[in-house]
Amino acid sequence: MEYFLTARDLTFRYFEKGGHVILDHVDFDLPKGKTIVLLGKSGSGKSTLLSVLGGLYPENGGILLSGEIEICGKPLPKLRFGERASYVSEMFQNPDLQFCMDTLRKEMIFCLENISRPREEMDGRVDAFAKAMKIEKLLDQPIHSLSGGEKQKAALCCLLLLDSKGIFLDEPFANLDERSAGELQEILKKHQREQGTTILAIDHRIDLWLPYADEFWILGEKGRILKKGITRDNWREYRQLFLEQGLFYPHEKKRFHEEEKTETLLSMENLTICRGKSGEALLLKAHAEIPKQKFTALLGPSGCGKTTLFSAILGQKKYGGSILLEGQELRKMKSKLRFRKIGTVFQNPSNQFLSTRVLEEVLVSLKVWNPKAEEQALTKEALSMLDSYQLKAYQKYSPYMLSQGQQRRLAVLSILAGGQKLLLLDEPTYGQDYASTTAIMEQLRRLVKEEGLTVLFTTHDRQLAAEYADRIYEVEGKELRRWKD
Amino acid sequence: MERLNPVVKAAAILAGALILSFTYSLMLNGLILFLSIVLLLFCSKAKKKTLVKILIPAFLAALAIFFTGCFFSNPGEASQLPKNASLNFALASISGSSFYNGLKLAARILSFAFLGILFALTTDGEEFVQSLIHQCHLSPKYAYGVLAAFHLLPVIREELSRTRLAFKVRGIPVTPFSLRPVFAMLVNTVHWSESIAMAMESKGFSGEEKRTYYHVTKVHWYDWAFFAGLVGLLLLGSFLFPL
Repeated sequence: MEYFLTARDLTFRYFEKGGHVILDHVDFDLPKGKTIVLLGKSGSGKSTLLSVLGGLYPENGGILLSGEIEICGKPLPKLRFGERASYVSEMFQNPDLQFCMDTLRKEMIFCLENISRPREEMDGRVDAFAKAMKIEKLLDQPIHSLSGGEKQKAALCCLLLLDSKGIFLDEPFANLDERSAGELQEILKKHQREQGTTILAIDHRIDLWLPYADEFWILGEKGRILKKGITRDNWREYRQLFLEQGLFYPHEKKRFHEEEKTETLLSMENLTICRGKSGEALLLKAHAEIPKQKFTALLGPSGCGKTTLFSAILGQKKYGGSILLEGQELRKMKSKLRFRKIGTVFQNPSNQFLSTRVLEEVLVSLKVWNPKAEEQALTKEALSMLDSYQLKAYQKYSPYMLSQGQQRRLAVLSILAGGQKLLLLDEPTYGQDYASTTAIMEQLRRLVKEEGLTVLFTTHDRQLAAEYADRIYEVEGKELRRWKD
Repeated sequence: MERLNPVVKAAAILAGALILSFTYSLMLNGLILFLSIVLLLFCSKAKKKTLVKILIPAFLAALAIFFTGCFFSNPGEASQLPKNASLNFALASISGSSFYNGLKLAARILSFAFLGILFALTTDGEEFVQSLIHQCHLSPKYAYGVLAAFHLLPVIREELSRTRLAFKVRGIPVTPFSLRPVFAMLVNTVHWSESIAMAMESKGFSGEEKRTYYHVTKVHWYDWAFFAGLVGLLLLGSFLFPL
């Protein structure tokens, strides 16, 4: 078989002294012209592996203790970055951090300049690619005003423009609804058919990739490959392995059943919310009732205004109509009181960390809400909370050193310590593997059932919503439509 | 003004400011003020509202300096008014030469401010960086680094307000001067800069000069004309009005 990339004996770690090894003597052969998806749980080193294979590490941090990488028979360190892009380009998990210019058009031109395309070609190529991906209207909008999904589309558009022989994708669909993920895959597949591109993706979900990937490989601890050769025909044989590795195993869809007879905690009447500066209405005279002590899901495609609705509930965004919390108008409520009642976890968890130690992070919240309790008792409680979220081993780490999945678990945890009655969670399972998705959702369900918490969460995962929510609203045509059974 | 090459414009204005700093003439400062205002109002697309907003602190500074000059200057120096002339305000009485002195100092502050504004309001940051690459051979590595940071600003601003909100929601009081959210945000930005650098490299950016350019800024005859005009006028002015 012809290989696009071969790597031998890769050993990598982030810190010179101490710290554990992220990749431990990894061998890797990537077949040419195929789509391979690496499945692995959070913290298995899959992001690191991808960046090492693409040559971004150790160039940008960390130490490669041993190992050699060849791309198309050429040793990777010998390729300059400009040349490298014609072999490999990479798309990352966080859609905010992929652009260096302010509009997509400029970013695309930046890419073309990098690979020294003649200037005369640029306009034509930019327009053709944007048209092929149906994102012409995004071209001249400020990138920071786009939704996560739109940003990922924009990022992919830049990659295709570079025309690399290989494309690496780091959980590219983590922030997308199924439809946009499908669209992106169609585009990738078409590109692959035409150009013979090799695609290597990492993900923790097999279902989105089933129609497109040639093969799935399962990654164990420290970047070692446990199993190759899983395809769309035989994946059902590996159920045991999936579960052992804490990976999502697609199962029978559970039918959604709504619970009736509930009190309302938060109600929205005639709610109108507009998008930032453009003033375009995201919700128009919408109605919704969030039941007390229940689990409510808010579904909708990327960019439909789910996050903006949360800002409105938190009093950070003006709205028309009314939002009532236990019959009280939210905009008239003092913010201190509001935050005593409503807690939130953002989509990007890393911006709410207060301290430089994981343990401290939970402890700070416990202290704020239990000012009179003894330090030792709180520490003990914090440790047991960390333990139940499998984070105890990291108690002395900085929160920023955790993987995306671990960061989110920590963020949820530190909010839970606050003891608010209503929790708003923006995409709580974004970037999570199956094991931690289940852990988070089960934990939340337990809190709802046992402690009387009311939870409202946004997601683009319909199955997740159907599985856990007691009530589901979907943003559709600027209204909130309630799901029936 | 916007059509001028940013680097040449910057050089002309810097040279102007340099000449200005060696002269002490009210007339020359007045000339600069007049010229800047005319250029800003009639030859540029600068918004009058932004202009006024920026000018408020400059005027305050000028006013402060004016009174400083009035009350703490050594009378009898460089005065064109008769020495015994004096002005009477309700509360204070100051000599004419002090008043003149204060006026001169204030005019200096204002003309420096106006020169700066003239550049700032008529120049696009991006174009200036491009011009630095093409006219001053700045390495693309720095130039695009600056641009990336520049474009990250709205994200940083959003992030800061979100961080503050996150803190408030967690029951931690936040005042406009709290440093904790800023710290959290700075830690984030360090991580971001790394990620963005990686994203740029993965898009083939190498920081070397071997690349093509979509926008190539050039120096035209009118750029030199502006340079020569401004510098010439100031030199001439400084000879005509030495004091």
